[in-house]
Amino acid sequence: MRKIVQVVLMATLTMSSSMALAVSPKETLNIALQAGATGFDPAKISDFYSLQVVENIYDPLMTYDYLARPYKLIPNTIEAMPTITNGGKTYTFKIKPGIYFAPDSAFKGKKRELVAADYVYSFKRMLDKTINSPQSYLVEGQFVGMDKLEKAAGNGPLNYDTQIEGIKALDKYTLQINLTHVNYNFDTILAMPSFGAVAREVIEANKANTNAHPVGTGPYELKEWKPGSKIELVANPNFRKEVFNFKGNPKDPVSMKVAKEMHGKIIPQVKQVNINIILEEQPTWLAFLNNQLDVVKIPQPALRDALVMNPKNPTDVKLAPKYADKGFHLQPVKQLETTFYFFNMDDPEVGGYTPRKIALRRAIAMAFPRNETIARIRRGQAVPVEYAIPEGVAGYNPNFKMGVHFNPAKANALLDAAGYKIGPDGYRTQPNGSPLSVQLATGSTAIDRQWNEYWQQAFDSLKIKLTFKVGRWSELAKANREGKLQMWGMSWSADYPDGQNFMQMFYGPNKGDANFSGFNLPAYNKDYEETLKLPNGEKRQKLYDKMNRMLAQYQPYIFDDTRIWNYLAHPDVYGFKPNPLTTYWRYIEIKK
Amino acid sequence: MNQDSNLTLDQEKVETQVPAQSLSSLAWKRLKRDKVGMISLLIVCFYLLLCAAGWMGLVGENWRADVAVPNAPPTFATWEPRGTQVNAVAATSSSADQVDDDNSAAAPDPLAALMAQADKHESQYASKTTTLKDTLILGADGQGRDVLQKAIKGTSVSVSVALLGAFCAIVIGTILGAIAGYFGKWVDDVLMWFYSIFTSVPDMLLLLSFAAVLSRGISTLVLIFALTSWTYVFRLMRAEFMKHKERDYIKAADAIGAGQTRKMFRHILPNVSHILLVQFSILTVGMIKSEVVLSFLGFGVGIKQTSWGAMLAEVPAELIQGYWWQMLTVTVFMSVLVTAFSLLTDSLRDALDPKVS
Repeated sequence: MRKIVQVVLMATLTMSSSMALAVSPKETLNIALQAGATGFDPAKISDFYSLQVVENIYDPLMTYDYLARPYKLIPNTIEAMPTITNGGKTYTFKIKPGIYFAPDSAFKGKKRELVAADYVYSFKRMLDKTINSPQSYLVEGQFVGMDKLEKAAGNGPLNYDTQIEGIKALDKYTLQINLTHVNYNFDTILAMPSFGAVAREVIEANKANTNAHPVGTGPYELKEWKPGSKIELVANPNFRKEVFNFKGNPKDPVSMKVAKEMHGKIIPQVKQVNINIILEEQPTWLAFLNNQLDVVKIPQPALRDALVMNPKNPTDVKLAPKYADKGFHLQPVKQLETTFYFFNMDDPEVGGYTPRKIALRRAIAMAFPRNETIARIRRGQAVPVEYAIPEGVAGYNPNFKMGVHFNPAKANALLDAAGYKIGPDGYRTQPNGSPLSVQLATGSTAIDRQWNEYWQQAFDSLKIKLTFKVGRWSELAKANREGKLQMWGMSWSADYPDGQNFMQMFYGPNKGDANFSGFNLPAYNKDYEETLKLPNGEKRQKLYDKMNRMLAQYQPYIFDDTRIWNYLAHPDVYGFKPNPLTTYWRYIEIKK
Repeated sequence: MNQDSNLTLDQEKVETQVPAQSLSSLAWKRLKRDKVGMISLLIVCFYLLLCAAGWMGLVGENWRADVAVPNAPPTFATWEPRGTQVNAVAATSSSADQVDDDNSAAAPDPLAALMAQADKHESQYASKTTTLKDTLILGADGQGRDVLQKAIKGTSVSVSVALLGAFCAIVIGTILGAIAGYFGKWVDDVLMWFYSIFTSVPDMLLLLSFAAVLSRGISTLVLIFALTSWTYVFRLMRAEFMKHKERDYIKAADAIGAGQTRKMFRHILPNVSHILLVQFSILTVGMIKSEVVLSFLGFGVGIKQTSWGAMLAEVPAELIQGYWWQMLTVTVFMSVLVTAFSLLTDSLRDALDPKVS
């Protein structure tokens, strides 16, 4: 009998120890993304979905305080914030010793420590023509001596062994960056996930597909990636010891609660992140309600079901009682973004800077029922954009109003005054009598159709023919770069919380990169260049106001709205406080 | 045997003879005896009338007008607006109306002169205000459009696309099938090779490929359906023409000097027309379904048109919010026609070719 008990006990112990090695459900975070990642090489990607994963695998030098609002930059892999000398042109970073990359065969069984040379290599990669980084514009022309190195490489790969003054390792742990000119946002640029450190030996060992083989020093490593289906991350066993010590804001009870819940806990508490790619909104919502997802961004169609809105202000929301009773946490977050439609300023019909061309664009802007789309499509969970820089970003001016009213009657009168006469077929012609037709680029989803119906109504009210160019995002982006689109809608989210990141979208020389419309007004360009020499302050703000007025007057863009994302978490999720500049995965805990 | 008895037999033959009847009149008689077939025919005819009335602008013409509050429920449903719901338009529009155009900090507006002129003439475009209804017979969609009107307009579009697509597929398939089957040899080889190219690609993939390349619209859908569905008809017609060209009546026609085209289309075609009629019916049902799939995926009709598929594409977002009436309406409209067409196809096959039943 005693032997039997011993056997049973042994079996139980064996089972429990083997279970302890596996990740238990309470240590697993299940979430959904609306689109698949395109890859995980920080120099090669720029899409929102891939960057979220990359942020958790690689470490930039700095990151954002999880709870601080306004957003605050803090050291990540460095001992303290950089020392800035030489009139703001030299940045010196001291990297913390004892930070290790996740295990990889390229390291031949040895633990590989993060050193300053890794950042030198990683930053140079951003400007390697053979990599063709979509984020290269952020550091193009910034590093002293980099132009010479790029020129020497021609269209081939850079010689990474050539030392340059602009990015150099002074010793094993000291990184020094020398800029060609002062850039007040340089530290925030380096905090972007794309500027995480890669190990040269890993990149060289996986040259054929660096996107599928990410190895970094971040809290997680890639376990499995099924493109378009799922991504699984597991905790990096070599991750340094980090403790949650963020302070809450007394004015924000949620941040105080999170700070209390998580204080002193080791990061990350979640040992595995399962990212499900769910394209449709209804299955995402149902998966959350069925406990298959721990956190969800409430899909737009479910907003009215999930939220109780203040009749006087729909952005003031509470969770509907049936969900509040289940203990779900609601966290509305106004995004650091502007959504907009833009005109191709080089297009012979809608582009140009003459009063007639401006009148056409202004009339189209005045006919678009922005408040109605906010109410019907966004379900009230967005605010109209009245300034090119959104709230929460340095340089935002809450008192500025773009001044474009929804007024189809006046828009029609304006078109009459500008000479766009109504022809015998009931549609307007151009002032020279030739036919007038505008083409709007669009996707093919049901939500795109909803937007297009409002646009069709707007153009019908102006008696202007509207056609649609339907295509996938990548195809339309290519067509736009080639100047083949007339009008298209998209959004711009802050890469870093400074207005310059938004105002650069309208700077003439950025045409083909972030300047989607090709707007090129000498007066705007001159003022923009002036703002680059100024820190955030009154002088820069005045210039930003003037530049915004130019945008309203010349109407290269129709500014639309800034969305409010309402996150919902199950009651067993602790430490949850969404931050538009950093993911929450590593900072939360799940107690199932 | 005497002459009288012969006379009696001839008289009997004359008395029992029935008037000669065409294939179509015999088929019609058989169809009339089939109750299910007749009911199905009536339903199909009703939809065809609805379709025609839609194109003539007699019904469904007002489907794009916002006539009710968004997602207004059907009159018959016991549904009360939730007190917590917000008419967010009212809440946000006031703020936009009060926007001040502060020009003090910038250069003069290059449009100032034109805007001043517009201010003077704005009143001529003043819009009428309409009162939105709280309920409609079959409810309203998210934009406040009448679901019944949309369903009628959708019927017009979906049925037209299916009928025209099926007709074009029949024409292409019949001509190519007749040529391949009748002439045989290298002509058959070339056309079979052409046929194999189309059939080697899965139907839905072919549909989506054409839809992705061509522009949106009813004519495009008809073209896509014709190009992807002619192969079914081709295969059948080729086999029938191969079989019939060896028959005695074709040899007789040959003997009296009938030309190739005459033999193919005046002699053989009428003898295989029953197969075409059944195929037409089958293809129409298939194309109704394909139109729904294409429109649901965003490759269907343009913004100024609606169809059953376009309506169904709006349904998932509405169902999350508990607005079920658009889904119910379009499903009933569609399923009634598809069922009726399928039953009619069976009845037509029985009536036209009684050997198979």
